[in-house]
Amino acid sequence: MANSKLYKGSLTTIILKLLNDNQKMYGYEITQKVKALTNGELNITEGALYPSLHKLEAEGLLDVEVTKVDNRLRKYYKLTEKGTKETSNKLNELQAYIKTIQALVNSNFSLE
Amino acid sequence: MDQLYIFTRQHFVEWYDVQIELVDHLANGIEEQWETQPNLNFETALKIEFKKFGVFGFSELVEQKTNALDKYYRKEIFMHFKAYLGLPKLIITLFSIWIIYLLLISVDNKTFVTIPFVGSALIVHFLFLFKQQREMKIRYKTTGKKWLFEQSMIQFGGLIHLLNLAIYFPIIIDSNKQWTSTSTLVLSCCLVIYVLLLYIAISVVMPSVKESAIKQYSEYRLIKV
Repeated sequence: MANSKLYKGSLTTIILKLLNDNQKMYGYEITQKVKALTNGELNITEGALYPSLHKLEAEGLLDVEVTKVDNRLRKYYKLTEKGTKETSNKLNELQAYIKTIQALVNSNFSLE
Repeated sequence: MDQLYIFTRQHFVEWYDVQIELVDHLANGIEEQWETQPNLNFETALKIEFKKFGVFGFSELVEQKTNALDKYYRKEIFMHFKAYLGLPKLIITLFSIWIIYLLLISVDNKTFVTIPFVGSALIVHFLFLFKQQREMKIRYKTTGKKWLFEQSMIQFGGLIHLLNLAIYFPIIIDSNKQWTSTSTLVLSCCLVIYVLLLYIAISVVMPSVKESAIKQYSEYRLIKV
């Protein structure tokens, strides 16, 4: 995606939605999943992903589980009960926003 | 793995709870590069992965993680504090304010009350800080690990700076000034709020944070000082 600013406002919703669908995920997995689901159109940067994950964790929307995988520690994130509720709120908000933008983009602007 | 831990330390990430995630991320990225370019050497692959973190490297990430932790602790402290503004704990709060108020009006010089009161609270505060710093030092010496959540926790999520203002209580109180009932009441409220925040941060929030850290990280252990 040429303009990464466009997805930044929706990053938390994207993370919450992915965790809602996949139970638990780790940071790298999230970046790869987004890339795969969007055929490489959307590339979540590391510098944006981790602060968002840490913020969501601090807000009590995510829970953390540290497990040993392949001889190294891996930090998994999963939704808390509060996080699951927030996911549906955020998704509704995003869908309403997409509809509004679509209405704006599809309308015929006239200068007359 | 050890090389990656050293790399994060060289890039100013001294906190183990942050390193875990970064090391795993870098390792995943390098492994993926090796799938398509098996001959790529470790240093080059690592450089490519590190570049993805942007011009500020890991520093911005650590800063934002610290901010998130600070916010979490402040929220926890205020959440427990709010309980003292509602029943049944409100009775304890009001009773304490009333006792302090009675003490304050019973003396001509308010510093006779504020200095011992704030002084004892500060002693408790400094003893707590000393104990925690010592615990962190021993933990680092024995395990070689520093924990960011612990650092943020002993500063009460930045609230420590606000609590430290209590040191000025006895100074700003002019002993010769005539105190109205309202200002005496405000002073007793401030003293009670100060002690309550300190008590909640040390005795309520800190043990629960340590308990969840033990559950999350198998390598985090309590150390008796």
